[in-house]
Amino acid sequence: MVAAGRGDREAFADLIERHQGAVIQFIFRFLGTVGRDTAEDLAQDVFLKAWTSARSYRPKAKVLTWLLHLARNTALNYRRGQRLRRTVPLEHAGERAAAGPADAGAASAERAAEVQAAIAALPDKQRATIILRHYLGLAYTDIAETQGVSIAAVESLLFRARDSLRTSLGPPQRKDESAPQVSAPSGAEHLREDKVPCCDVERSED
Amino acid sequence: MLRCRKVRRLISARLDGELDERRWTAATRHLARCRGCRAFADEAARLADALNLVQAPEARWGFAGRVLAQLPDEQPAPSSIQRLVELLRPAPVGVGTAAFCLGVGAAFLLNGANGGLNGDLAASDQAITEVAGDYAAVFAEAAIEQDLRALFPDVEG
Repeated sequence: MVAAGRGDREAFADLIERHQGAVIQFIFRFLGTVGRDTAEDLAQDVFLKAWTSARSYRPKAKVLTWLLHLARNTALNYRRGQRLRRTVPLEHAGERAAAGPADAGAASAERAAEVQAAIAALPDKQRATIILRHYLGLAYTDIAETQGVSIAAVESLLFRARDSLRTSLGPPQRKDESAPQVSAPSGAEHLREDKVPCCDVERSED
Repeated sequence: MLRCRKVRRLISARLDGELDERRWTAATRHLARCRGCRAFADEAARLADALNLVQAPEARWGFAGRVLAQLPDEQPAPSSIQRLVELLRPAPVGVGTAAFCLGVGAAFLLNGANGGLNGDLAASDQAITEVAGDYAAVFAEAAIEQDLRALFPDVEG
């Protein structure tokens, strides 16, 4: 990025190749209602902005988190513009459907649409955070840098996003009966309920 | 005892591999007794499978080339604001101190002149005040102009 700041186009091309996937994916998932073409157009805007402001880039920020920060702002501006024009982007509906897995059956396509709708219903910060974590695999420190919040806030945003998604999606479909990734004590399986009670502590000793 | 909300936040962090053992140990004590939080742990872990159902497109071949084709021939020079930020970045304390000294100096000059108005030589002081006021104004203008020239050397006039 520093080389790009000196006008090195080759270095900038390498940078685009390295990060284009993450930027396009973030915009596509964050906006939720746009097709591939719009996501790519907006990603192009992100890289153009990166080029024009490359001189002011400071190496203390990771390039990817900086680009994703630009991507988030670009996506928000795009959505604001869409709202001002009072148009609902219905473009590329077929393309969006085609973005699903090729071998996906009708049931899982329907489920994917539900999940997409649930993600789209999240508040901006929660949505951005779950995308950065789950789909792009960023560490909490990098998410904090991208979002301009503390690590504790990232933790809280992810919890709230997961809680909302869990509630809006209902009980997850079980492809297998494998144990959850967290080492929850055994016996959780038969206790699972659609409405999970809060503070339903069976016996309070401490 | 940790409350459910706090424990669920810890479970979420644990799923991401971002929780240290000390905090997780505290959460497991709660989990052993709370079926609601156990169910949350189960469902949150399975949520990942549901999220993976939503796919996103890859970049089309030639994306980088299309971006490069749109780049201006030369990178634009930094804007005035960017240059101002660049100038202020290395020496925020120095700039702050200079601004403070400028303010204190002007206030001292004006205050000192005003204080003399209460004396017997009011008329004389009035003249001094006017001179001091003029001097302060000229000094302030010169200092501001000097600062602005340093910040924006390319600007004419």
